[in-house]
Amino acid sequence: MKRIIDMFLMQFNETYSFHKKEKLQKTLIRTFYRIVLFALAFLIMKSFLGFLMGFLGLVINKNFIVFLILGIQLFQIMFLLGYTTKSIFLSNDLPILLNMPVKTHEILFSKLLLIILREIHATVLYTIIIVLAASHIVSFSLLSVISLILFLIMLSILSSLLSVIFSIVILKVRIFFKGKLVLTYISSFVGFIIFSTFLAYIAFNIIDIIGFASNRVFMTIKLNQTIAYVGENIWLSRRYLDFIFLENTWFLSSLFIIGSGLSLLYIVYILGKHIYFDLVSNANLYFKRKQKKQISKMTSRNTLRAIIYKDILNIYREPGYMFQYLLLPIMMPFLIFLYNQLFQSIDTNQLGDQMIVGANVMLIILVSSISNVISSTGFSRAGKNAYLVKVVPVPYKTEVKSKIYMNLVISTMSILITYTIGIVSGMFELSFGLLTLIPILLINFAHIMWSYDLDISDPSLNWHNEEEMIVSKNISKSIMLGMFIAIFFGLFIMISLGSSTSVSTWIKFYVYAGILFYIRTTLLNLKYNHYINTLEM
Amino acid sequence: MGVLTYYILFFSLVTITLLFITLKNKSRKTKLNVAKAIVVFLVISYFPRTLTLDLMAGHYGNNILFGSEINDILILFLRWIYYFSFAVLPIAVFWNNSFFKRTVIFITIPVGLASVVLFKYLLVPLGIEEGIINRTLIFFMIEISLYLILSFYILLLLTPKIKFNIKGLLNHSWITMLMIIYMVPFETIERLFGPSTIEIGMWTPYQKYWFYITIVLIVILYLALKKYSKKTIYIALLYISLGLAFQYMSYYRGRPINFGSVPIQLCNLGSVLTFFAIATKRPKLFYFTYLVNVVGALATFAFPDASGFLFQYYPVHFSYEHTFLLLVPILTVSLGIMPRVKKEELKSALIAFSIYFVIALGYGTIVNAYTEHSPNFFFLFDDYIAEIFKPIHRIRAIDLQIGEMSFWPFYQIGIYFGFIILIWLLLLGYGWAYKTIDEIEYLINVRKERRSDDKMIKNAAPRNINSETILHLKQFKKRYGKSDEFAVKDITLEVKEGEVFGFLGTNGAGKSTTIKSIVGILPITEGDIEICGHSLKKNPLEAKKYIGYVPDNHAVYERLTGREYVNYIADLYQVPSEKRLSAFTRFIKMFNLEHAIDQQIKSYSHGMKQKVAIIAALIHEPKLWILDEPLTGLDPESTYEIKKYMKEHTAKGNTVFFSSHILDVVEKLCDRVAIIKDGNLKGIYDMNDFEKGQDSLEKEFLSVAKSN
Repeated sequence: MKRIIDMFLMQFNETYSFHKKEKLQKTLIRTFYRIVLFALAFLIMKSFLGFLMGFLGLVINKNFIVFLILGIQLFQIMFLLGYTTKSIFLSNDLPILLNMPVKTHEILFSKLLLIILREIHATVLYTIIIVLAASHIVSFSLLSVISLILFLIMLSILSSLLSVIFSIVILKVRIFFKGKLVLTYISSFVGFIIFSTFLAYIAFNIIDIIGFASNRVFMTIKLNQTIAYVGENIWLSRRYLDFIFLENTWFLSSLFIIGSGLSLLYIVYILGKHIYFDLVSNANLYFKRKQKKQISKMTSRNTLRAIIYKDILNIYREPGYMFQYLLLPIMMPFLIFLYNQLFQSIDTNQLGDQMIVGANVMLIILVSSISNVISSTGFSRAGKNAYLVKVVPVPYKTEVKSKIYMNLVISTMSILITYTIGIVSGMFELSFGLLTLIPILLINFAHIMWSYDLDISDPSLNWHNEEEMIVSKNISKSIMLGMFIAIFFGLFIMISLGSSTSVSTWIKFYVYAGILFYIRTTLLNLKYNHYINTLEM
Repeated sequence: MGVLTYYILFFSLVTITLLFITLKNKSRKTKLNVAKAIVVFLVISYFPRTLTLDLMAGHYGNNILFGSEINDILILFLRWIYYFSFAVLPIAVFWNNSFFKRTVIFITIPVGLASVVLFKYLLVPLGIEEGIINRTLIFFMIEISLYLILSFYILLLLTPKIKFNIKGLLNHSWITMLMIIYMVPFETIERLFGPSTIEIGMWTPYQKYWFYITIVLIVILYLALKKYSKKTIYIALLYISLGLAFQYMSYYRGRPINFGSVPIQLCNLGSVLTFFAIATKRPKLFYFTYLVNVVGALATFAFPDASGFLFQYYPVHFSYEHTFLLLVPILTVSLGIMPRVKKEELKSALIAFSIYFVIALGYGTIVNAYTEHSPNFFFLFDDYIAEIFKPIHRIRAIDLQIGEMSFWPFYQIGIYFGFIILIWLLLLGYGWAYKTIDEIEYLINVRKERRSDDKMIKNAAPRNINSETILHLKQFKKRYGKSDEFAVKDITLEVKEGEVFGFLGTNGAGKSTTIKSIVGILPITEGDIEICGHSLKKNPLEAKKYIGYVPDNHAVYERLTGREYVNYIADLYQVPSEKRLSAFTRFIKMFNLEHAIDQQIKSYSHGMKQKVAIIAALIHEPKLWILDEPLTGLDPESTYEIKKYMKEHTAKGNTVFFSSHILDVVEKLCDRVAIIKDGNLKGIYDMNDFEKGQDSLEKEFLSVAKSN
C-alpha cells in the first residue's frame, strides 16, 4: 500500500505543481475567486433550469436528477477513455515506474488513484453545480443533498474503474491497427459513414418533432415522458434513486453500488496482476514492416514543395493527425447541411430569416476555424526537429508559407464544397453565396495566420509523443479565437440586418473582414522572422 | 469708418508706440511679462461678451443682418478668423513658438485691422445701437484695441527676423487652415447648416459617424504629429485643448448664469480641465482627464442623448466636445508628452473622481431641492441611465428623502461603482494597447535594421569564400532569455580550412550553447559569428549554406524513411539530383544502412538514427561540418567509419568542428582543440605540441577542469 501511495504522490506532484510555495495572500485570493465563480455558476445553472421549466415545461424532480446522473456517467466514461488509455498504457513515466522494485498492479493502482482524483476534481467543478442547482429547485433536504454529493463522488470512482476496463479494449484495437495505415483509414471512413448516418437520423427525427404542429408542447411531453421512464423503469436508476434519497430498497441499493465498486476494483487488480505488463510493452513497441524493395526515389523539389511534401507524409502516416486535420473539413458540408435542415423546418418571420443568415455565417466560420489546427500546431508539430527550421539555409518565410498554404487549401476547399452543396441543394440562396463567400474566405485566412502567429509566439516543442502534441495548448487558444470571431461576425450580421439596410450590412462585412485580414497579414509579416530568430531551443 | 474706429486706432497706436519706446531695450523676460499682462487684460475684456447674448448665436435661416447675404457671410467669416486669432495670441505669448508668431503676423494683424475698419458692423450682433454707449461697447472697444496692441507688440518686440520661403509658407498655410477649421464658432455652423433640431434617439447614423470620425482623427493626428519634436507636439496639443475650452465656453454665451448652469457635468468640466492639465503638466490633473474624462467621453459616444443632422449645431457641439475630450489625453500619452499611466496615478485619479462625485451629488441635490433649477450632474438625478439599462429601474425606484432633498442611494452608488469599474477596464485596455504598440514598434525597428543589413550586403563587394578562416567567433557572448548571467562569456576563436577542430569542456561549460549558436539555433546575444566570411547575424542564409550539422539528440523526422529524410534535407540545401544520388548511395554503403534505409526511422535503433543524421548533414558536402557528441551510442565499426570520413572530409579542403567527451579520440583525430569552462575559453591547443611534449590532452583538460 505504501508503495502505491508513494508512486501516486510522485505522479501527483509531477502533474499538479502543488509543491511550489505560494504566498498565503495569493492562495486566499484564488480561493475567493473560485468560490465566487462557483456561486455564479450555481446561479446561472439554476436560472437556466428555471428557464427550461418555464419555456419547455420541463418537470424537475428526482427522476430528472437521476436522468441527469446517468447522462453524466455516460459522458464521464466516454471522455475518460482517451485519458485513461493514455495515462495507464502510454504515459512517459512508465519506463521509470516499471524500472522500480514494485509490482505491476501497484503501478496500475497508483495511476488509477490519479484518474479518480482527476474525476472527483471535475465532478466537484462541473457536475455538482448542475445537480445542486436541480436539487435546489426541488427543495431537497440537507441530508439528501449531502447524500447526493457523496454519491457523485462514488460515481466518479465507479466511472474511473469502468474506464480502466474499457481502455483495455481500446488499447487492443489500437495495437491491432498499429502499422496498418490503409486498414485504419478504411475503418475510419466506415466509422465516419456510420456516425454521420446516426447523426442524420437523430437530426431528422428532431426535425420531424420540430415540424410537428404543436411542436413545443409535443417536445415537452416527449421529454418528460422519457425522463419519467428512465427514472422509474430502468433498474439502475431505481438503485441510484433509492441510494441517494434513502428510500425503500436503500440497503440493497447500497449493497449493489458498493458491491459493484468492489467487484470492479477486484477485476482491475486481476488485470493489473496478469496482463498489464504485456499490454504496456505491446503498446509501446515500434512496428517494423518487412523490407520492401526501394519504394521512394530521390526526387528533387524546390524548398516549399519539399516542406509541404514532408508534412503531408508525416500527417498521412499518423492517423491522429489525419483525424485532427481532416475530420472537420470533411464534415463541414454535412454539418452545415444538417443544421440548415433543422432550421428550415421552423416557420420563421423576417427576423428569424436574418438570424438564420447570421447563424450560417457564424457556423461556417466556427467550423472552419476549429479545423485550422494545421496552423495552430504548425511550428510545434516539428517538436525536437524544430531546430532544422533554423539550421537550413531556407528563409523562414518558406516555412511559414508551407504551413499556411496547406491549411488554406484544405479549409478553402471545404468552404467551397459547403457552398456548392448549399447552393445546389437550395440550402443557401445564390445571393448569400455571392455576398458571404469572399469575406468568409478572408476571415478564415486571417484566422489561419493568427493561429500560426499564436504557435510561433509560444510553441510547445517538448512533446514526446503525438498524443501530447495533439492536445497542445495553442490548439485551444486557436479554437477560442475562432469562436469569438465567429460569434462576433454572426451577431454583427444578425443585428445589422435587423437595424440597417442589407447593402450597408454587406459592405461593412466586407470592410471588417478586409480589416481583419490586413491586420493579421501585417502582424504575421512583422513577427515571424523575429520570433523564429529569437526562439531558444 | 466711424468715430469709434478712430478712437480705437488712436488708442492702439499711442499705446504701441509708448510700449515700443519704453521696452525696446529691456530684457526679453520683461517684454514677455508685459505681453502676458496684456493677455490677461485681453481675456478680462473678452469675458463680458461670453455673458452677453450675441445675435449671431441663434441667428439662422434666411434673415439678413448686414444688408445683404454677401455681407452676412463676410462678417461671419471675419468673426470666425477673429475667434481663431484670439486663441492664437495667448499661445504665442506664453509658449514661445515661431509658428504661432508667424500666424500672428500674417493673420492676426490683418484680421485685427479689418475688425477695426468694419467695427460698426461688428456691433450689430452685440445688439448695440448706433450712438448709444454702454458697458458692452466700451469692453468691446478695449478688447479690439488690446487685440491690436498685442499683435503689434508680438511683431515688434517679441519676434526676431522672419525668414521667408515658399515651402515653409505652404506648410504653414495648410496647417493654419486646419487650425482655423478646428476653431469654427458654432454660430457659423448654425448659420451655414440651418437650425439645430434635436432628435432624441440612440445609434442614429450621425452619432455613429461622429464616433468613426473620432477614431480616424486620433489615428491621423498621431501619424501626422509623430514625426515632429516633442515641443511642437506639445504646442499642437495645447492649441487643441485651448480650442476645446474656448468652444465649450462659447456655449455659455448669452445663457443665464445660475446655480444650475455651473459646469459640474463631467465632460463640461473636462473641457476646461484638459487645457490646464496640458498647460501645467501636473500628473494628478492630467491623469484625471486621461482616465475619468476618457471614460466619460466613451460612455457618451456609446449612449448619446441627442442627435441631428451631422453638421447641425447641437451634434457638432456635442460631438466636438467629446471627440477632443477623448482625443487629447490619449494623444498626449501616445505621443510621449506625458508618461504612461501607472497604478499610483490610478489611485489619485480615483480619489479625485470620488471627490468630484461627492461634489456633483451634494451640490446637485441641494440645487434640485432648494432652487427652481434642476441640473442633472453626472446623470444622478434623472432616469436617463435607467432608461438605457431597464432592469435598473427597480433600483432607481428606491429613494430616500431627507427634508427637501431626494436621494436614490442604490442607483447613485451603483453609478459611482459602475464608473469605477469602467475606469479599471479602461486601464486594462491602456495596458493592452501599450504592450501591443511597443511590440509592433519594436518589430518594425527590427525589420528596418534587417532590411538595412540586407541592402548593405547586397551592395557590398563579393566575398572571397576561399579565405583560410572558415569559422570565426568574434567576442561571442550568449545569454538565455532575460537572465543576468551569460552562459558563454566572450569567446574569440578562428578555425582554419582543412582542420579537424575539437571543442571540449566539462558538463554545462557552454559547448552545446556555442555549437547551437554557430549553426543558428540560438540567437547571438553579443559579438558575431562568421562562416566563410559571412556574418551569421547579418547574412544568415548565406552563412548557413556552408554548414552541415549533426545534433547530439539525433533528432530526425521519425515518420519518414531514411531515404525520404535525406532527400528532404538535400532539397532544403538544393543539392542537384545526380550529386545527391551518388553521395547517398556511397554513404548508405559506408554506414551499412542499405537494409533499413527504406524503413520508417521510428523503427531504427539509436545508432542507426545517428547515422541517418550524419548522412543528411553530409549530403550537400558542407565546407564546415559541425557535430555535437557524434560518437555517442555508435558501434565500433560506425565510429571508425565516421572518424575516417572526418579525415577524408578535411583532406578535400573542408573543416570539421566537433565536441566530444572521448579524449582519446579527440587526441588522435584533431589538429587543434579548444577547452571551455563555465562559459569561458580556457585555451586553444595545437595537438602537435602534445605529441612533442610530455603532457597529454587528458592532463591538460583535468587541470583546466579543476582550476577556477
